[in-house]
Amino acid sequence: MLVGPKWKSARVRGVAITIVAMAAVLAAANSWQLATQQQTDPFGVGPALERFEAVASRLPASGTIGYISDMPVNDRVGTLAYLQAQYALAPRVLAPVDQMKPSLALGNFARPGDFKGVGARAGYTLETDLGNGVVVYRKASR
Amino acid sequence: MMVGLLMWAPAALIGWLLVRRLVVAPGRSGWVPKLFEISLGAGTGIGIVAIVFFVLLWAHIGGRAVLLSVEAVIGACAVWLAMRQHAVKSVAERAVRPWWTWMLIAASALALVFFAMGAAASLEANPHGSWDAFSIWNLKAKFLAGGSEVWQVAVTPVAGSQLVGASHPGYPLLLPSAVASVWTIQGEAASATPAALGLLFAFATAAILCGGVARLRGDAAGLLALLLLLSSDGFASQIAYQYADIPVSFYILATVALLALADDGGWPRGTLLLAGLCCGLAAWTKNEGLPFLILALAVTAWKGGIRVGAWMACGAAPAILLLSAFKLLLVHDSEAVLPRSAGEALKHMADPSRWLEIAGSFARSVWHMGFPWAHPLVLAAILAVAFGLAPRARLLRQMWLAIPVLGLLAADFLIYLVTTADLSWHLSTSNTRVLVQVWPALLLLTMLAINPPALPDAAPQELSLARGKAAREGRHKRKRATRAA
Repeated sequence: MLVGPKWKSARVRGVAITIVAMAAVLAAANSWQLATQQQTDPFGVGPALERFEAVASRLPASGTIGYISDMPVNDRVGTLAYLQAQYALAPRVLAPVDQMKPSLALGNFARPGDFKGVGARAGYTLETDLGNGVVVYRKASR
Repeated sequence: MMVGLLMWAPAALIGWLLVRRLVVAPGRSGWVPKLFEISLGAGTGIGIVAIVFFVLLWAHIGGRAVLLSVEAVIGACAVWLAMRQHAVKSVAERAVRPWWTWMLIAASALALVFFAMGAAASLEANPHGSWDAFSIWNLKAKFLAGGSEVWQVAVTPVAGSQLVGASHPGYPLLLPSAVASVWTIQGEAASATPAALGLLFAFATAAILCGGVARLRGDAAGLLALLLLLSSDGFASQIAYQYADIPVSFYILATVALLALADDGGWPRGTLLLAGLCCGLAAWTKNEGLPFLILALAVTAWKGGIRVGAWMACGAAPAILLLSAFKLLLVHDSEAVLPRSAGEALKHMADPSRWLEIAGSFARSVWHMGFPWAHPLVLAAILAVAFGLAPRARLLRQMWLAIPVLGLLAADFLIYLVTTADLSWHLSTSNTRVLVQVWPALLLLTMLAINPPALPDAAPQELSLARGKAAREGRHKRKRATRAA
């Protein structure tokens, strides 16, 4: 038996449930529609994994690796570049060479340039240039 | 993706068997108890495996063989416990249902299909998750999966250099530990694994909301709660992010649902243990889970008595112990956004513009949880008008369930007030997610506040109340007998 004021009849309840059900289905459909319009991999993690795949085999499986880049780690582009490289190469730890000087360092460059000179200024010699702005450095012996 | 999902099956099975043992079915046959048990089991099982993995790693006895062996032993124990369970007599459901019950089933199925398609499209576009996934959660998982030599990097500020927003050594590790446990077994960091975990938690949250409300208020109310969640675009859009917010929302929702069931059922120990386990896992998932855990334990002890609170605390004990050891022994840095002195915090709190900015951001986040023409709160208001609110006595009796959830929101508000980070940045990067953490629980509480729509489904609720009354009376009788003795 239904209880409550007369206007809350079974018909009103049925209409309310119909409205809620239809609105929810349309909202879920709209969410799906929006999901299909999303930008693909907006942070470029997939390409970064591919880009650093070759260098992974030239580095030890763990430990700290130096990080040299033409993109300052503190701005948005540099932060993203650093995090992409860190994620791709984890469980190795990437440490900017102004903080510490491990025996090996990764060069991550956005633009072509004098990679050898950049490494030398940080106390490293260029060991391998893997192309696409990815370089392996070794700490210069004194 | 299917392989990714299958990798979580052992953990889900362990959890399901445990839940079957601990939560006594309320004497109903059909889909409701199964949905509730399976979804609750999936989340708790993943949480248990995550804890076991991290403890083994910390004890320097990690590795694939050890992990598989321990999981097998836990699984065997869970099977043994489940086999010892006495069969519960089922009550046949009534055959007569209002016409709109079938419409609700059809609408829920259709909305679930769209929800799944949306999740699939999001995961296809973002297979590696969003910013915090590769800079925090999955990065930590890679360090944890790296073995006994490197796992501690996950809890030192070296990870993520010194970048604010990327270095969070004190973040709890349920999600990274769970992902790392499967990566350890797989032998590789497959991107489908965390993506599948996000998907699993999203569907388990939807299922536990539906199953929980259905057990408390009948099938139709459960389906309506599910529809409210599926219409929440703010929730759906988070699935592919691979963040910890949806998992923590699962544990918060599960805790509230189990406490509501426990309250209705005369505080059965198994349900209390599970509620404790879930709120403990919430704290091991995100820092926001800690105030929720404290509030949930305190308010349950206040409502049900010290013994009830103690049973719940027993369930939470593994996560509390692990979290305490983690915070005290492993993590030596505080969050960068926290003030360094009380004076600094008070200075921020005394600024009225911060209060207004935070309140405005919360209001916007609530608004963005759904589309204006189908906002879950508007839909809930329609249901409240059509069906009326629950009787005043019931509302007052269940009001305590809202305290931990609203208390968590208040704690979040406080953190924003005292944050040393730029407030606009802090709000824009986290406020919607903070709301997502409590959104399913808020929907459950909303549905408890509305009169149950389907009278034919009132039977389990009456049965549950009667059983709760009988249990309470039995307890009083035992107390009287003890006193007499």
